[in-house]
Amino acid sequence: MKKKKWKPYLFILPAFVIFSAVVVIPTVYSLYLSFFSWKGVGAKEFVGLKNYINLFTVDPVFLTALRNNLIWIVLNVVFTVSVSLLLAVALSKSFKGRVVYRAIFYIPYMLSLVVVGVIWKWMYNPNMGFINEIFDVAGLGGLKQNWLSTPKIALYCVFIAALWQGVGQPMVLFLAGLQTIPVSLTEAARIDGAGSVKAFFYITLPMLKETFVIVLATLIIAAMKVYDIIKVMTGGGPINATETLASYMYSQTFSYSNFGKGSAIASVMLLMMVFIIVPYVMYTARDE
Amino acid sequence: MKRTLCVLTGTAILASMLCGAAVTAAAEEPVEISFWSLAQRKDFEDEIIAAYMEENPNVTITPTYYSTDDIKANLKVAASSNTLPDMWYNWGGSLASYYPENGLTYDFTEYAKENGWEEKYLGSALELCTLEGQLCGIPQSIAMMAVWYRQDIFDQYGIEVPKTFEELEAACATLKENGVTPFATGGQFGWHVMRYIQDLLEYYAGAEEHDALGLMQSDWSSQEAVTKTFEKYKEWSDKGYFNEGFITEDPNDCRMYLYNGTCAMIIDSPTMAQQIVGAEQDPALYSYFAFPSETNEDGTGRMAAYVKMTQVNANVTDAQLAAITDFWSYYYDSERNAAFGSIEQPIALKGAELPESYALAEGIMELMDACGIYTQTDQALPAEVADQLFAAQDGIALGEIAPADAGTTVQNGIVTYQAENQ
Repeated sequence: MKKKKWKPYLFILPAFVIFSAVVVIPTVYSLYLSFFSWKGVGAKEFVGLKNYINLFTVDPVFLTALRNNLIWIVLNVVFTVSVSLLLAVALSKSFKGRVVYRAIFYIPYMLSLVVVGVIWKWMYNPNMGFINEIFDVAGLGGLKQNWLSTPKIALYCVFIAALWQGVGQPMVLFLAGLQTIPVSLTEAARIDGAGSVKAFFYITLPMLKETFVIVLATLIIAAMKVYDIIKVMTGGGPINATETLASYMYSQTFSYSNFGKGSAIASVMLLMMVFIIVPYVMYTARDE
Repeated sequence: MKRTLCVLTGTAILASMLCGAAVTAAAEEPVEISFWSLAQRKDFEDEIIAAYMEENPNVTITPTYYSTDDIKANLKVAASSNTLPDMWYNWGGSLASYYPENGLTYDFTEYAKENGWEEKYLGSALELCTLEGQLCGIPQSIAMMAVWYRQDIFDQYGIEVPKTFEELEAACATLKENGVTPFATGGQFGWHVMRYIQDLLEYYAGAEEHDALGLMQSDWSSQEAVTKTFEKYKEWSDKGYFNEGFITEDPNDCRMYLYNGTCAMIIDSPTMAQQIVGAEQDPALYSYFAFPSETNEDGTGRMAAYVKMTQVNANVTDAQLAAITDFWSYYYDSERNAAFGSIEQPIALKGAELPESYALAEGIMELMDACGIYTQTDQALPAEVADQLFAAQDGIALGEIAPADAGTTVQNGIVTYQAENQ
């Protein structure tokens, strides 16, 4: 009896040790560091909540970065989900060349965000970029912009590049989800007089609930961590207009050697993810 | 007597043999050195290290290569966990000073005196490697900023190489009137646009005041020269003297505007010579001059410069230190090192000649000697303060910050930095 009781723990022990070593301990240590002023070497000075208070009260870059992350989450949830769902629904229908189209929309996801950033940076180039050239050719020269150098639109321009790259993965998840919906359900709805739109909202969407949990959770986590595409396309500029929490955390920790403040930013990121995702997952899983 | 002499002679021979054997044994004692370097140097450094180890079989050098950002970050992590390598590549200024400041690097001050480094290395290089009162690295190469220009475009519009700031402005006006953007720059990371700011500051503030600003001993918010600098930068920006969208342009991409004739000038280091050849441009079309900031009596100005160095772990053994210094002597010996033509130039050794790939930069070392140098601003200022300067640059160009307020932005960064680092 005693042996049986310990057996499951024995099986999870290797995973527990690895998870503790690479996730739990570093996370706890990072949280611990966030209460100190530390330059990376030498003595750590305990400062209590000062790093957090400074971030929220006197650091304008942090607040800009926080706002940008929240904007990115909203953009990701609204546009990446909508576009990928529409593509998945369209590509789940049977038509000639369907596989080719699926590949076309999925291939950008296989590219690194750094490569995507470089490609789109060239497309946005105000002097010889594809986008301004298109406006010229179309006789819409007045719409030409310094896309990445204008603080008000720079973040959205970067997001479009990220959307182009990132839409493939949720599309595949939605495609997989769509295939699990029994055809009989939709057919029954049709027989009962439901149109395509009604069938989509009352049959397809509710049946994709589990897929939505995965898609939204991964998109929100990705939005909180967004870093590389920002670094490549704008470097956080102009005037910090595209700075994100991840890029600011990197600067504080590795450029400025403010390990305490950098750890505080990391902790804020973690807490935000926990506060957004955990209630969502609990809410969607309540029926199960 | 004869017997005694024989015994003494025999003893002496035996002693010298034993000593010799001991020295040989010491020389052949296995030495292991870990080395962190830049990814772009991998090709030739792997070759150099392999050749050196073949000549010195008792020495094992294990290189690890990182990208520019990664080496900075990984060094900080290694410093915080006491796992720094035995030697590592670094830039000068605030990037390097962290390590001597925390007692992590070998101080070469005494070693340099004993080994005649003053005769061996350029004085400017040793000066730039001296941080926190310590000679904290072995100088490698030195980069000094000059204005590289298209000779054919200057000739086409009858522009002479500017000898004064007024002549430079006249040249810019002529170029702009003829549809050529005077300057190419890329502001994505801030430091490229900063090259224009620092030369303007050198012109308006003069050498002494500029140095005081760089050392944060002078108040950026109250200096008239600072305001004039930012006003001139704003004027140039508004007049379209920089390429369109320069604020987020990649510094590496902006050279293209010089190649295709959209722009006529760029402030760059001697590596520009290699870049021009590498981009298959006609070298005859390009030349360089010192930015006419007029801080010297003859009208020339000091050139912004920074050094690249090898920092050595404070905990290395004597045998490791001997091997490290010997390796770098080999590295910079054009006769012994078969890959000498590939290494970064101009090297910091006195009397060193530039390889063929740098022919276009010929004479730049002499120009630097004649003009003098000042520490590049982003290496003089701590990174967080430099970032405030970069934000101010962006803000001014975009009309979000008034030139008169930009000095206050930088000074606020200095105050915050000093408060956090008391």
